[in-house]
Amino acid sequence: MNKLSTLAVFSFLLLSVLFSGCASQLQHNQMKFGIQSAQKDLWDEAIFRWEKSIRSGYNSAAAHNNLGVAYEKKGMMDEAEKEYKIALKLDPGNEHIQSNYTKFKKYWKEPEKAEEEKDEKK
Amino acid sequence: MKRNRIFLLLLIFLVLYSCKTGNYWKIKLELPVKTNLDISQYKNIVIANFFLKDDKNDFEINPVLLEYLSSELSQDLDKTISTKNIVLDNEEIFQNKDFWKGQAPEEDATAFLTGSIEYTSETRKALMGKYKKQFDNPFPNKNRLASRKFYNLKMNVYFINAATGEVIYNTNFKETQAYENPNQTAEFAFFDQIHKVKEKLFRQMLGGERIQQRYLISK
Repeated sequence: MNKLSTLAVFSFLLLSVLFSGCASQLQHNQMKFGIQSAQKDLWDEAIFRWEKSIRSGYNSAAAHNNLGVAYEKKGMMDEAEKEYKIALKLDPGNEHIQSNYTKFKKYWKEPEKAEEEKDEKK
Repeated sequence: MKRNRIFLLLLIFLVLYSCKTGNYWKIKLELPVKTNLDISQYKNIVIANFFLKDDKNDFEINPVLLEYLSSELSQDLDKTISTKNIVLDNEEIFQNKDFWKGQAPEEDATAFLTGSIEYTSETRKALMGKYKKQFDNPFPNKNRLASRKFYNLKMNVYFINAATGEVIYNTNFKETQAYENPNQTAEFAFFDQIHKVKEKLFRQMLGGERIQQRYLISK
């Protein structure tokens, strides 16, 4: 009886992990598909995937960060800034999001400073 | 009992797999350069003389500069480009609206491109150590005196609305170039530097695109 109940608990845990894994795997696939689209310069498709991912409840910092990048590429600066801010709120310690947002601010808000730094690096 | 252990190991594996650290991809974006100067409203651009600060050069900067800028602007801008010889006594003249209104040509929608320029050179000398050879060298290493000629160009550029005399845009450039050749002429070096300034100035005027790196993340 004891063995049977242990087995039942393990099975329940295993199934719940598998189901949650499947759901997050679907979202992960959406995210990856968006990234692949962006790498092929298909930014509208990428935006569609990441927006869909967020709409379906996957409110991750990654999705918002990627949308920030995509909006920046499309020249939608206000939307990009909004997405970067949400991403940072969700994952304040993420160095990639921090880097993106810092570069975004430097490039669009202080273009002359960015120009000088570029020349100094040369 | 053995079966339970297998289940447990499988469970741990799945949990670890689902919690693995996120991946990221570096991506290069071609982003438009933000322009601070809107010259779309001007049909004519008149390039006026530049005010020369501490001019000790052996060539006339203004004719060279005006010819170069007018030639380059004519290629890149769909506007009427001309030059005008205006005597500038001091740097404060750029803020003098009445002065620039008085210089305005008859044509409407004209902007002046002018500014001040400081072009200096200096020779710097330093003891340069010879590199050490890996094999035994029977001769001692000697330091040699090396000299480089440095040319410094500082430019303060103004765009002035000819109708109102107001400064519509002001920007600064600073370039330094070193040459090993001690006989490098100032005029030749000036062309090298003015070309760099032109690239930057045109980027500010016309925009263009620049490569930027961003991260895409999947988790």
